[in-house]
Amino acid sequence: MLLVDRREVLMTAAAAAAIATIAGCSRSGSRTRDDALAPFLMILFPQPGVDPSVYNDVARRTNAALQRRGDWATLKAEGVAALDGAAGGKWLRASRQLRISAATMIADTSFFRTVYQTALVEFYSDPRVWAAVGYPGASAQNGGYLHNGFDDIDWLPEAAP
Amino acid sequence: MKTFDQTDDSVVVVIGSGAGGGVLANELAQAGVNVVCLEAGRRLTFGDIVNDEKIMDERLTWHDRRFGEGILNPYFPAWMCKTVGGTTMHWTGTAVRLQAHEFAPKTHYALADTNAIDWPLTRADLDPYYDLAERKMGVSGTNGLPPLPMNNNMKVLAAGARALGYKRVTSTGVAINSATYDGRPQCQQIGFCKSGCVIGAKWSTLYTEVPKAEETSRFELRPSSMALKIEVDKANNASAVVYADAEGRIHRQRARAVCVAGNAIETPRILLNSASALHPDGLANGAGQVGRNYLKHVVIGALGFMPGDVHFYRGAQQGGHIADEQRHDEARGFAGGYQIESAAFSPLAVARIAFAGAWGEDLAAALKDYNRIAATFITGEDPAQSGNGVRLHPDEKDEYGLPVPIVRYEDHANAEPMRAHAERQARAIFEAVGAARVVPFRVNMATHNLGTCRMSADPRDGVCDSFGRAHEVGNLFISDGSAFSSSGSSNPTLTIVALAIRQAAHIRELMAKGDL
Ligand SMILES: Cc1cc2nc3c(=O)[nH]c(=O)nc-3n(C[C@H](O)[C@H](O)[C@H](O)COP(=O)(O)OP(=O)(O)OC[C@H]3O[C@@H](n4cnc5c(N)ncnc54)[C@H](O)[C@@H]3O)c2cc1C
Repeated sequence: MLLVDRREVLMTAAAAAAIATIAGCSRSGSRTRDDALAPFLMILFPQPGVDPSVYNDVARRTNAALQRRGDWATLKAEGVAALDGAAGGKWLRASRQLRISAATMIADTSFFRTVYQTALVEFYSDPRVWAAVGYPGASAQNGGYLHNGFDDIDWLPEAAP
Repeated sequence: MKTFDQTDDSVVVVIGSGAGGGVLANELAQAGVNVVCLEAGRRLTFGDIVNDEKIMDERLTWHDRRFGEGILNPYFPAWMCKTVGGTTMHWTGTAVRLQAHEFAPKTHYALADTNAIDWPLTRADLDPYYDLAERKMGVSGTNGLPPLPMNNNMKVLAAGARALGYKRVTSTGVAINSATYDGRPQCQQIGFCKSGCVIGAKWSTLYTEVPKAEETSRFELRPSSMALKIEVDKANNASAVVYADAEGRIHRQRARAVCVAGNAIETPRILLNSASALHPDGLANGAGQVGRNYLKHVVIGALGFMPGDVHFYRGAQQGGHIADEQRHDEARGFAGGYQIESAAFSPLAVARIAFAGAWGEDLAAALKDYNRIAATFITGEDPAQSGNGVRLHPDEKDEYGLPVPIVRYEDHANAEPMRAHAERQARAIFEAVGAARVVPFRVNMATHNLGTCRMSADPRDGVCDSFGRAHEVGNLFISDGSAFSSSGSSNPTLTIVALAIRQAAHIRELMAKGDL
């Protein structure tokens, strides 16, 4: 059985964001081109209407958040090797279908779950992803929805009283 | 602002400023009693409350280390707040009275393998205090307040429920202002209730009970003050509370009485951490009941993918409920009932809670239809079991060197048939108004923490009497959800508040009689 590292679970969204910010400040240069993380996130969260640059940003933030784990470099190297193994060659160059199958095959690994848990929070908290799914986020600055559509539903069948 | 000396033993020390502690402290101060309230969390202002789940999670949520066992999340078993106002900052405002039969589960439910007891008080005993609680909190549909206007999400639930023939569909019973009330504004349907209400339309002790208590000049709030241990003197009186301030400095506040309202995980933890020569197994734990009988409600959620837009993020996150299934009717194959509420989730919450573990096209397709989602959250009666509870970790310690809690919860055999029934009904509700797909889901972290220092008529069955007074220590009180003898099917906070008001009146009486 794989042990879940409690840091994976306890890494709250807020903590991860804070760490990402700190890590982001001291970071020089950007990720190398062949980094597998962003393409991996595209397989995990293939949200229609989300620009590739968002995946790059989320990958960067995920990387930064996970740097805090002493074993992240190893875990990541192992994860990429596992993906390559599952794809029977360079995962990055495999077809999309093969990349999905390979990801499915490694879904039980610590690498997969660690990335999934951290990146899920980063990805679905990103306002650009919210825009793609139609969620506007904060509403207080516009006065809420009391006079702006909170009860504007118009397709419900007339309810019998 | 009033301050009390640490050696002043005229004060009642209240631990926690949430639903139970905040109300009790204010009621006591209003009645002329000196109160010091120790609250582990910081005190926020309205400027600190923003429409941002990530930021508010950091500002509000209790993230101290805990472990979960059984069906609970192993690292985050229960959800509560660590801030002035306690979990009334996170709560979504549903405020409904328990039903008469829910005060007597042992009498009414033919269930094996439970440690159920009847409450040592009845619904009729509590009704006058429910009245006071509803007035205090501004519950919709009471005290001249209209029902909360139904938002789209609640309208979908209501229409589906009525199509099934449900009659008790309502947006009364919400402690969110449906009109200006008690100096707080009408709900502007902003959403983000769980992140703290940015305008204070939702009742929370941070901006009601606490400032009102301060106006009496008989109340001192000490935020960032973590109670570590309750001391008992030779005469078996709770005589002082040892606590740590924000800098970790240790203090000791003398007390005339001690009232514990740390939420049903921390309250038994404090008592268990307060073992002494007189109470070797933990304070007030001679009967071995401290930390047992943990209740959290049987819970399911369901998302309906509707034929048109719902925009369920708009407005009150929990803007009404359906009471028809709350009856006790064993013909359904289980004891007790369940309550069906509307519920709303951010995209992250949909992904993380409703679709826990999902990825790839499945998850993306669900989120693509985010605006067509309507959602419900269902809470049902949870039979007491002795093995469900809170105990101290044998070696893991917190920053103060105190053992961290382990929370254990396993389902009772009554849970599965109830959940299956609730899932069928949730599906039928959404399908009745055209849902293309309904996705039921389970939740492994508790939001209603109850029962771990319960009231009992017989001191062998519980920790305190019907007023929350500990059976074994005359000036020690349980003042939060820990005191529940059973869970009922409704959300607990209105009952916690009613019990706190009743307890405050009782403490006044005991003092007047010279009994405290
Ligand atoms: C997301 C969410 C939604 C909810 N929605 C509803 C709803 O709609 N209706 C409803 O009825 N209920 C709801 N609840 C539950 C409700 O919030 C709680 O039942 C209620 O607040 C519990 O009151 P309490 O007094 O027992 O504890 P709390 O309100 O949690 O207060 C406990 C306080 O004690 C403090 N504390 C703990 N230990 C110590 C210590 N050692 N020293 C000092 N201070 C300490 C904590 O910091 C906290 O402030 C919801 C809960 C959550 C999480």
